[in-house]
Amino acid sequence: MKISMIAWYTFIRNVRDIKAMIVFILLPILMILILGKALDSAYTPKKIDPVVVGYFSKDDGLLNNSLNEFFQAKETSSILEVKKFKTLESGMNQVKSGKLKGLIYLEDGISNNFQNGKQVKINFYSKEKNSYVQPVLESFVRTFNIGNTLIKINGQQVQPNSNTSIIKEVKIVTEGKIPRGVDYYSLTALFQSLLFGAIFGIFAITKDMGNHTNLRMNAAPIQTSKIIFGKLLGSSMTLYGISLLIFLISKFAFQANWNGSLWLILLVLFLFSTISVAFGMILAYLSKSTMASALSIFIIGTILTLVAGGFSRMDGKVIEMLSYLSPNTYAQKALFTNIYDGTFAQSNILGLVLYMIIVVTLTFITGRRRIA
Amino acid sequence: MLLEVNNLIKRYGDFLALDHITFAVKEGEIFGLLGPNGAGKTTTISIISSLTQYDGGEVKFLGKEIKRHEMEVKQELGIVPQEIALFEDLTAYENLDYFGRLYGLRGSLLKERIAEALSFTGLTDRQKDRPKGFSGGMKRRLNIACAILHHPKLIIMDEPTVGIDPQSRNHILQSIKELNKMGSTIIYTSHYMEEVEEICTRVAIVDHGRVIAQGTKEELTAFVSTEEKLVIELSSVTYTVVEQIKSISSIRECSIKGTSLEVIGKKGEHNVSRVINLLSEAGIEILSLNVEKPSLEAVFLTLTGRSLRD
Repeated sequence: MKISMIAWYTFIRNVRDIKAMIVFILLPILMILILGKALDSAYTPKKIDPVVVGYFSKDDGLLNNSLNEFFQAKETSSILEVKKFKTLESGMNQVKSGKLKGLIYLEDGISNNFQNGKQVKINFYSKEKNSYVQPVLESFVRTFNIGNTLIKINGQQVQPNSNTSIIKEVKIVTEGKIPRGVDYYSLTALFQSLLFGAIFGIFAITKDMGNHTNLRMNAAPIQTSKIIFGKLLGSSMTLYGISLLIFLISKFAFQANWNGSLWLILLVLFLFSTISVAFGMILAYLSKSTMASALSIFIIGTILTLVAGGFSRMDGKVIEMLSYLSPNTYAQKALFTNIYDGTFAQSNILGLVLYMIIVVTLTFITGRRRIA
Repeated sequence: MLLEVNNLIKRYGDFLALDHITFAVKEGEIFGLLGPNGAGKTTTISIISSLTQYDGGEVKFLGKEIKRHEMEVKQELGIVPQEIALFEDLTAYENLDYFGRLYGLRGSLLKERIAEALSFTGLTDRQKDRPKGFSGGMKRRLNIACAILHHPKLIIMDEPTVGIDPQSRNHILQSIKELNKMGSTIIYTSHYMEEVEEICTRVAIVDHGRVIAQGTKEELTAFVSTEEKLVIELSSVTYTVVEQIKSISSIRECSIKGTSLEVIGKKGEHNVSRVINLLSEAGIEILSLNVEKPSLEAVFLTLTGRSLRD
């Protein structure tokens, strides 16, 4: 009860600090706008040339007609350039010589078999694994509702993915797989700003030292750890609120790509806000000075953002090793992996949780030591 | 006894801040801790409030050692720190709500107590305002209101009138007397001798971390009751008559301040009649005559050789 009261009033006091609120909302927005625009070309993928494949059909029925129609569709032709062959052999030779990425082959009577309810197959031959063609053919099967059709790649049957359409797949490949400047900086600038948001943790301690309310609080019948927890919670909620606002602005106003799991985004932002505030509280307990703590967080925050690639993507073994000291690395990797690969980077999420546990523990240790 | 402080020792490195401080506070009294700045008053009350650890001795509240019953004792104390301890970004009402809840008050009881504290300190009309816009006196009153919300058994006030105008100071002193009448026991620290004399039932004089004297005001002034001070307002004054007064064997000092004469001499030597005779013979009209009782200032001066504000 007392913890939630302290947390609530800490939150209220932060929100009433209009100057700090404006700075911490505007700072990431400006950074996303400036960095996202200025460095957009570094992140925008170049136009991808269509994959050239061959097509040979012994069939002249429904499936052949449908497939031809499908190849001519705008969405397909932007990905696949289809060259028709009169013999299977001539097509296969081009595949072997590397002039074609592969050959699509329809056997004789496939349309009749299909219309008679028999299971049929579309063959695709290639020298190497090609991630483009399989989803294209899967999409064809779904788009034309030929559910009884098998796709065979190099003689091996593949199971069509029934949940997604090729049109969608194509869009992800060309527009969502590589982040644009605004996508990249929506994440990195947000985490950098949140790191500077440690100032709310600093304020939670030094303001009460400055106005001597810490005396009254320490004289009250409440454990020190509860006071620390209440302040941590209140300030984390403030920063979390700001992070959600920036997330919404970058998603809807800047159209940045946040198409990952919403729950993961919410979790990562919460963990990061808590880490940042706890970090500020530790510095404040150690220095007992707003200026010294703020200067420290500015320097440390800039370094942590830099090594995590917050300003520009950096390569190198040393940088990579250093990057694991930065919470930004775990947060950014967790979200980038989820948004662009569609998977959960469990090690990064776990890294962030561990980081939070360590920093929060240190907050309690330094806080209790300073008061004792 | 409500509070017993026995042989309290506190060191800051090599500096001995409290040197075997011993005193006791009875229930229902206003106990004064009088001493110059740096005497050890604030350290003493910080220890009683569990804000500072101590190196030796013991502090008991209602017979319980405060170290072992920290939370229980804290619940019964109301602290008015020397510094104004308020959240400038919360309203007066919110400040009271915050500290009331810290002491476990909730619901209608909390609302009732807030209203009572605001009314007691005359801040009801300003409850929605933030202390930023308050005068020094109003802030001091809110500082007190935050300490009395939970009806503590013992209120500790550390120099609560520092830096405020006489009107606010008077208001605060009256409030303290009223709190005492309502049953509160109060420890009042100050280096203003007049305040301590006005409101305290018993006083401990502290200097260099030691209690150099304690008792009621009468008991303390008995230390210096061998002398008396006459303050005489005259129509005019001459140096001749001053020299004549100084020549009286029982008179130690005679000085002129404007048209008034201050005479200090041994008690019980008929100094009043002797001085009046001399003034009459010189034809000087006496406008008023006052025999001043010895003050705590004089006690401090006698015991330490320094004045309280040195």
